[in-house]
Amino acid sequence: MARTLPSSLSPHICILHSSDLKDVLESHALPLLPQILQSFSPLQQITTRTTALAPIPLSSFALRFSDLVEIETAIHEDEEQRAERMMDWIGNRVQPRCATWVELVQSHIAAGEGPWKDRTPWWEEVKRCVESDHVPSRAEGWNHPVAIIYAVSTAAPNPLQALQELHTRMIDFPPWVDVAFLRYSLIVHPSNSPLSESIAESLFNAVKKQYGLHTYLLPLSLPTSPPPAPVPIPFIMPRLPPIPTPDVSPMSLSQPAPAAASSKPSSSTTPRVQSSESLAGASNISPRDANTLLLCEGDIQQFGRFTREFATMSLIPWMEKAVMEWNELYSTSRRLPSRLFSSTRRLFGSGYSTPVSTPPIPGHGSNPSISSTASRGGTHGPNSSVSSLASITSAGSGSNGAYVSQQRRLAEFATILGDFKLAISVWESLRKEGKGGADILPLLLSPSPALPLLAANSVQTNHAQFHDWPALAQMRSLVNAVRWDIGIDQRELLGSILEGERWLVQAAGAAEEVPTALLLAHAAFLSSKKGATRRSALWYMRAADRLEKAGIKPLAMHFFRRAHQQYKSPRSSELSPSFWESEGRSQFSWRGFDAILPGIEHELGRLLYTTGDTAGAVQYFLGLLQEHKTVSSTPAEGLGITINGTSHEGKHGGADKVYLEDFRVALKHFKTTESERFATSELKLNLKFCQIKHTRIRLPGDALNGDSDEWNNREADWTTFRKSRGAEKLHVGGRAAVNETFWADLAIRNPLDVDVTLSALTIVLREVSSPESGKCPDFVDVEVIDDVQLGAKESRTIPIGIRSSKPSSLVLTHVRYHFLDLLPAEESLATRGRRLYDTPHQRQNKVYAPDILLRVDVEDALHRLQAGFVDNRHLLLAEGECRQMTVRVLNSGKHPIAELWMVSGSDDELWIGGDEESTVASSETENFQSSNSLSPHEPYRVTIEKFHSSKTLGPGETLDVPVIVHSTRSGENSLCILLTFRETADQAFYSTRLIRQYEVRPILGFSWSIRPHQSSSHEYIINVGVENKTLGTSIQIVQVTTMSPAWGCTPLASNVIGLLPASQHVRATFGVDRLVDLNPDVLASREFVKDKLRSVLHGTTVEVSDPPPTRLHCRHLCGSDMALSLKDPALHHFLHADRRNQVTHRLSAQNPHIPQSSHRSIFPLYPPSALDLVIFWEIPSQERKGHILLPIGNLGADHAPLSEVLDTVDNLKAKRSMYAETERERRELIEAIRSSEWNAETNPITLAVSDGMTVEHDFASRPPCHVTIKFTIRNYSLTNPARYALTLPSSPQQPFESAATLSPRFVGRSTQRGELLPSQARIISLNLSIPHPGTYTLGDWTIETEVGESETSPQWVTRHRYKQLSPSRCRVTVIDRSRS
Amino acid sequence: MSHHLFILSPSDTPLYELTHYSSKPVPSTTSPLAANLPSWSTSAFAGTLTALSGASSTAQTHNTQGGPVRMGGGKDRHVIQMVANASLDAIEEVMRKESVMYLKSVDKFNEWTVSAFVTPGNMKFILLHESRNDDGIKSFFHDVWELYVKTMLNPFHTAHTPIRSGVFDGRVRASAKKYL
Repeated sequence: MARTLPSSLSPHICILHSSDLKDVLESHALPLLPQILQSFSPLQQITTRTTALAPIPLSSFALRFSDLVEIETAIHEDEEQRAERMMDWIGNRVQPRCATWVELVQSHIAAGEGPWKDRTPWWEEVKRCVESDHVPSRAEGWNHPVAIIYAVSTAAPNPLQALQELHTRMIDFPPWVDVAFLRYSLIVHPSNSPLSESIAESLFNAVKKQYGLHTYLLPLSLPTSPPPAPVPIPFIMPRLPPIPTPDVSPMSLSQPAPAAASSKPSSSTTPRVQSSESLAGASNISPRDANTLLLCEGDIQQFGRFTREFATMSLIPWMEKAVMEWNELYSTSRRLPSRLFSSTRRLFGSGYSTPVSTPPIPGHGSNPSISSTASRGGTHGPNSSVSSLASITSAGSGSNGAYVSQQRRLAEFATILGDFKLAISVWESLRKEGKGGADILPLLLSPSPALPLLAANSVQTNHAQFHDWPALAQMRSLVNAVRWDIGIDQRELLGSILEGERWLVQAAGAAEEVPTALLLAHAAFLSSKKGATRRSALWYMRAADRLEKAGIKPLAMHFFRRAHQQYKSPRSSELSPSFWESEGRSQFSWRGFDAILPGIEHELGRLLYTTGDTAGAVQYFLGLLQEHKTVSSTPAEGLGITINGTSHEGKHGGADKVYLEDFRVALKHFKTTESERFATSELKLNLKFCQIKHTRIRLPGDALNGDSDEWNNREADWTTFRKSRGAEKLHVGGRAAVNETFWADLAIRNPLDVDVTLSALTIVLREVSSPESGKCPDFVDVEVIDDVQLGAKESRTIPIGIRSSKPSSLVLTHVRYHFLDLLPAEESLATRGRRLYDTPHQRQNKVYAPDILLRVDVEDALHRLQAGFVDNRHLLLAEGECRQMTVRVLNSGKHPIAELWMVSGSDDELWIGGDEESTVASSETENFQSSNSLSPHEPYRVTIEKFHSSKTLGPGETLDVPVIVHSTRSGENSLCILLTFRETADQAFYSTRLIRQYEVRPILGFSWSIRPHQSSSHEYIINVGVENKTLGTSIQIVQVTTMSPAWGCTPLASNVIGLLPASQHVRATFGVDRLVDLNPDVLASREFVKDKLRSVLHGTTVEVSDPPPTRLHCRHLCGSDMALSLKDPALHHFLHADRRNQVTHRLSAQNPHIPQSSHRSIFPLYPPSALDLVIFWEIPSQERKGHILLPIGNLGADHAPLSEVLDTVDNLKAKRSMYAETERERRELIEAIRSSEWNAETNPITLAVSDGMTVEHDFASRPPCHVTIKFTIRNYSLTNPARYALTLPSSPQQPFESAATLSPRFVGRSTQRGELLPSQARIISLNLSIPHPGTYTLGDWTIETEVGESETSPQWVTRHRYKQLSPSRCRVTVIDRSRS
Repeated sequence: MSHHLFILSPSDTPLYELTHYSSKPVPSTTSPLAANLPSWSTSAFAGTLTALSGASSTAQTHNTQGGPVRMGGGKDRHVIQMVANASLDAIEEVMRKESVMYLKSVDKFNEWTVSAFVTPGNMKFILLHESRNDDGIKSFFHDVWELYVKTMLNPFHTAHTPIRSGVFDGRVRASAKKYL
């Protein structure tokens, strides 16, 4: 176990020399004796012996020499104060050199080679300073002198007396210093001495006789002319300068002050040594080359021989003897416990401590605490240079309980001598007793998991032991750390067992001193060497923080940079490469913790700013200004720390504010002080203010934009409409005119959490044809916004006016502004093109189409039209109101307009034309033809000559187009009208847009019911209720019109026409009959639907064709003769549109699987048996009028006309579809059609009996009474005949609910059969025989119905059968006339 | 006493962070087992710090746990993140040696102990805490894991999607309140 111990763990030898020796050395320009002798340490190849006398070869053996007077002075200083001074001293030594060091290290790092690859200059400096400490301490014995050399020269008048004086001089050590040291006498005999060789010899003999064998005569030649060539010697250790006297100005700590306390300062030599040392530190010349000694070769050999002899002949034997004696005492004291331990070991196994091989000495007391055999200051007898081997040994006797015990000295001596076996056992026992040792053991033991615990324990012990002396505690930890770093092999120290870099961090603790910061930095350095870059980054940052506080900026910056670098350094990932592939991310786009880099960069920026590198600082601060994507995208709390309920965004805001303020200050300073550099520096702002996707071009006419989808629909409608009429293109709108301002609406958002100012905001544009980096064309004026204030995270739209003086195509490329009025910045307005998937290369890689830029075409205003409503006030319509409005059209172009069209939405009900005199119906009924098609209306052609003096609209001329708007959609609506126009027939169309918002409020409420009529006069009865829903407006119901392809209505009792006050309700009743001349269209449209649905069900293409037109029969009910005719084109148009809207909405809801576009080819507008009601109303007080269409419903019976088709479809061989969804959709489609109104199945036969008949009969004269009851049987089917069988009860019925009613007896056939044609009714008269007067109830008959196929089939085929049980009852009262 | 939780993706990108302030009393005595281990408490340094900074030594307190919160937002936030980031080195090392999910206390830095939990999908949950509470932390981690798995059921969630679910956040807080 040949370890190199740190030099501080070596024998400390103090030298007391006489003044004559000093004079001799000074006269030859030599330093003091300790310094000369120190040059010969360490000694090579020394052999020591263990207590068992086994030789231990040591490759090097260090010695430390110092001046006794210096030690005596220094030892009286308070240890705490000394530790504080030491800390400050190290800091002050590091400070002036660190800038050079950092440059040096950085250049070496850049070159990749050099001596600073494995060490750092600042840590070397700290190590040297810490190791240089040679003042004895209470806590440990390493610095307690092992030997004192009394040195005199033969140049003294009386050398013997001089030596005597030195020997008798009282050594001024405090009582806690161990006085077990070797006394040694040295006589230096220079060649120019007055004493001759022989006298010197005899003097030596005399001294040897008086002071024992530890004496040496050192003859030196010391030539003066010529002076000897300087010999390089090892660089001497820097020493903590002594306390300055109050007179001296504050310590100049980089240069040691003269030893004020020493009697004769050795100022003549120290400056030379110091200057060379500082040179060495600064210029990376190995320090060993710099220091020199003016000694000739012979003298060097003499000194070498003396040093070696002193060590081998005196010091080591003396130490070995001491060790043996102390070990005996030690093992004696531990005899009992050791025996106990040995038996324990036998039972439980052994630890790493080894037994001491010394045989126990019998006869000694086993009291472990007192073993001193001589007291301090004992006799210094000439024959015994070992004055006292045992001095103060008991632990805990001192005030702080930290006196150096003999046992500790034993451990230290054994360590020095290399007897590690003994040393370990003693240190171990010391550690167990809590007297230290934990710090040294890691140096001696081989790596094991126990060592980190020992290290931690030692740090903790330091802080516990020196609780009242924090600086001292810190110093002790630092000393330990330095020893560990030197004494343990770096590979072992960094190994996974020891993790030594953590020890250093523990030793550094939380102290904010420079040495501890450097200790942390060294730990970081070691971590980075080990590969733990993240840990290294943390420790570098902590070290840098502390150094920054201590004001050592170059080093702090270096460490911050290292932390930055270590944090960002790529790490080999153990993830599969497919992980990144599956995530769709690049391995290198790693984003770590969001606060770390800004934290470091901000510190770096501040440091750079304070050190005068404004440009660098500005760069860093600029990098800090960026959007916190993770936080901003989480509205509530999300990713981001929430502290005590307050959102973390506030924290970010605080950071942003600080960053921005720092940036502003630094940039301002940079701009004012270094304007030239500012001009050349390329500062680029990372922030993006412009929301490109929300930025758009706004033309003057686009003030009310409307929904862009709506406009696209209009344009598509127009294109569809024009497809068959000519290939003229529609010029897409959105072209700006020459000399007219249009705007780019910039959507700006502040990504920061702090207010910012953008000034001189403008847009950079170029012509499409010009090269990329072209300048803004001179014919375009772009507005410049002076100042825009944006609050934290504020979004705003800022219009920037653009005006071009000639036609061109412009591309908006950039937004340009001055950030904070200081930094010019530019943002691109390009958005990435769509992802391409056309080629395999594009599919496998991410390829995008070229960037998309905002583009605007400016053209001469040749074809331009401006349109607007004359009345621009808020438009409030009543539900169903027809309101006339005027659209004013201005030809603002340069060419006349001959053709003008209006394209409105498919839901909008619009009529071009004035509110002319309404057409009046000629009679109460009228018929009109309907196209019966669901196809949306075509664009309206505005006949210019109708509203204008000429056929064309010249430039600058206006045209007022009257328009009637009708709407039943309550709520807020917008009317988007696309106006298309052109000059002549073969030219392309241009368009302009018109939008109008309006609100619709309901005013009337409706309810209605349908039931079969009980008598034969009508087939159905319809009751309609109308309610005025307004709060204070009376509504005049002007007219009620029914219309149907198959049914005619007759108003029965009605008071509906007239004024309907607010919140009132009126009713109207209509009898409904089948039209006598049923038009053939009914059947045709039924067949049409059947055919089309068959195609749908079979999945074949539905042919595009319109249903057959139908004739509608109308019946008006109005107060006067002047009924409004539905033939009025506007009214007809509105009713058609209204009906179409209702039908379309219903069909879309019922048949989601039939595409909407094919509805018009499948379903007619009016089903054959539909009945609609139109109610015309007026509000005279508000000059409003309108109408509302009520779809009453389908009347009559239907017989599942689609059942055959559905059956066929059901019985088809099921086609397997790959997708369950397809199959499900198909089933849903079939079900929807099965249950639709086109496949309704109803019993067509109803039976009505006259109820409540009263008959008077004279029972006295002609009993019984015969009453005839009329049964009305009606076939409600419009298409199919039906057979019926009415079966009457054969026996008298059981009395009904009560005995009060009687059951009559029918006379005649009990079953009546018959056949009814469609819509035919038959009255069957049946006789009742009534024996007594009373009230009779009829019931319990049965009707069986058979529905036949249509009338045309020659043979009766039953389609359906129904059985109905006494659907109604009636009462007959017979009164006996004879009794009255 | 505060706790900081980080959820990191397999590529060490933070997906979620939470700071929780526990109102539970700090256990006054450590377990006898723990007494054998070197407990690196801040109490020893509290004295050093105060004395070095020139404060009177009587102000030293051995129980710093009850004191005001040291790590707040702002500048210190990056220190907390640095500690969490630094602990990844230790976590990776422990992961190489052991194949358990709950890694107990993997690292220490001054007052902060770092506990970690690694899911089978290599997500790392890191908790910075000041006092020893192994059982509570383990239960907490299991809760967070369950919640995380539920979040990952969302087909739009990848291993790099930051967790912004309010429900997740609320439940993690509830669990933290329960166990920490």
